[in-house]
Amino acid sequence: MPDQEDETLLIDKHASFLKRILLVLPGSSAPYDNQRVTLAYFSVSGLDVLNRLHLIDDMRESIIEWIYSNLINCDIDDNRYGFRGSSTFKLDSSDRPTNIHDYPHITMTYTALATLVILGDDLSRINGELISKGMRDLQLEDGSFQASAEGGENDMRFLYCAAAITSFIDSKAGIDVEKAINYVINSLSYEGAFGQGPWLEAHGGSTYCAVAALSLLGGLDRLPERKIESLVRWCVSKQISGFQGRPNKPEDTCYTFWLGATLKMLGFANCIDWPEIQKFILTTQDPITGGLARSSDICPDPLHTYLGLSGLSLAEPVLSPQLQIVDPALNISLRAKKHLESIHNQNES
Amino acid sequence: MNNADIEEALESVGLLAAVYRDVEPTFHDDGPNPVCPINYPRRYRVLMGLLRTLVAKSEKSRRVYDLTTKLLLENPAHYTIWHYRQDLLSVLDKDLNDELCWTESLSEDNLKNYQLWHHRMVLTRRLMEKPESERGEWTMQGELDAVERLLQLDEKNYHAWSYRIGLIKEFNQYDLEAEPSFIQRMLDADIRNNSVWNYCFFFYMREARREKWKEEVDRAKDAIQKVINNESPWAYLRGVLRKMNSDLRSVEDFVISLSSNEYAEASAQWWRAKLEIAELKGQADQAVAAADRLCKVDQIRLQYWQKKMIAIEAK
Repeated sequence: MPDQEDETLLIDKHASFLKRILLVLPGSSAPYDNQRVTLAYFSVSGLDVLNRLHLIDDMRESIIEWIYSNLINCDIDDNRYGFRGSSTFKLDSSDRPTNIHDYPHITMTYTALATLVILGDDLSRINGELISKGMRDLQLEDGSFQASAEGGENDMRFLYCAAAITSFIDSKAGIDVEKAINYVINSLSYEGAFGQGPWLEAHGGSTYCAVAALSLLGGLDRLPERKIESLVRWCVSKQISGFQGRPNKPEDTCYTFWLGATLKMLGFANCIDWPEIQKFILTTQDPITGGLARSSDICPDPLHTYLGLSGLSLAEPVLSPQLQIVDPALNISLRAKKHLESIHNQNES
Repeated sequence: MNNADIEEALESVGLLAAVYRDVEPTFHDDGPNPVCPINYPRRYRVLMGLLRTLVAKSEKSRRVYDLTTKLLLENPAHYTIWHYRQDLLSVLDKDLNDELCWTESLSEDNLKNYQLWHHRMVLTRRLMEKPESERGEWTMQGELDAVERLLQLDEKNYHAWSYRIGLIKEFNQYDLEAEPSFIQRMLDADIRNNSVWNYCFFFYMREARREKWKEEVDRAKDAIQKVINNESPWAYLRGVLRKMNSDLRSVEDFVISLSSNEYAEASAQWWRAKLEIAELKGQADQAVAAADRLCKVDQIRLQYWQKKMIAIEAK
């Protein structure tokens, strides 16, 4: 790529890339069939970070309606309240489970709520009590979470989603907080950072999930000073020019957010060489289609585009003033977070 | 879409159209304004349409099983289809060894797919529930060998390593004779593979292996001597020493002796060790000097080391 294009973040190109995701995806994206809600989140939150939400003003209502069409409603004695990833197994237009295999997924619930808030919805159609009830079912004895009552794996990712959801519905009734915090603490590896679970390798993604969960659940003070110091050291050590996710692994754009946000929450975002981070990210930028990729030799995708941008927004001092800063624990813009807070304040009065 | 299209789609994946003739496909209703709509290939649309109808009836038959086989090839991330298939395996009493074979053939192109690894764990759990005589050719060692085969394709694959740890833990396989040589093989292949070091820690740092801990200190030292700036063995060394209620001071002689290593002066890891030892010994001047050196040798972390220097001087 010519040097000229490497020098600046192509805001409008990235906005076009993200908007296109909302409009249509190629057949090769079939593997994302049951995760479309998360794709919508990457796009909408990405446009928000780019200050380009106005580009989808005309779609705002229909996106909100589409997200709600993935909400599974249920009775108080059922535990299936929450969001699906898409309509692929929605077999009729009812808002109830449409077949015995129609289950919500915790990541989709988190990203659906986030997207709704970013678009200005007031969440009045959401039944927080039923969300909490469904979530309780997903927490295991060791404190970790599964994604869905159907079963499946359990790890730090879903624990984070649960913690984030408690912020959106302003209630921790859905989590046994003590158990959750214990799972997180038990996942601290000898390296000083967090794996997906006990004994598992410390990793940038699970470290973010762990620290954000602790932050959201009020558990950060469970880490003594010297453990915070080791954790910070591990995180800053992951910068090569961009960030890697584990020692001796290649750099990858998405860790800009996972590690940038972790260091932000711990108060050490100013110990990152942000110009170097941006330099690396720009090598992954596609000047024709827009979008950011994992690394410079790969095609851009929604996840890396969003996490590269939201990560960059956290730079201290600010590198790209055109970007909206995100809240590191919830991964939505501070503006969207303010809207969320106003919703909660209104509910209280 | 007409019957000819449906037949063509089925035949294209090697399924007999006649078997599905009575099934009216339920096509995807994405609502009036779908967001992030995927332009599904026709084949996928047809197969999903048929599956939806059969899932709605909760049919648990061979023809549904075959549909899931084809669909998971197109979309191995479809967790609902995996769950349905796991039910089908029980209902149809399918041979689990065959299923493992098939799963492995899918894995090679999808090594970072959570559902495939979870499916493997589901199968292992079912096999371990059976008496040994009913497991066919399956053995735990065979399963671990399969993980090693997959690791050859992607030596640091997080799922593979986590799965291996999960197997050893859940089924209490710590005393497997072949593990120590497996670990050695992986380290010999790449001494910078952090996942192996983590696995090593998991395997050896249990109370029952306490007598091995001193050897593990030596393992870390050997690795450091080979590649002084390798973050992995330094972290391992610190971890093992902490388990022994000790710290880097107990290997101070070793750290000092590394000064003869040609890469030591430029090694951020070496200087960190010297900084840490100085701090532990309460030697502020030496600690500040080491931090100052790190500002030059580990420049990308300049602000971090500067902050560190200030913190030491403040104490």
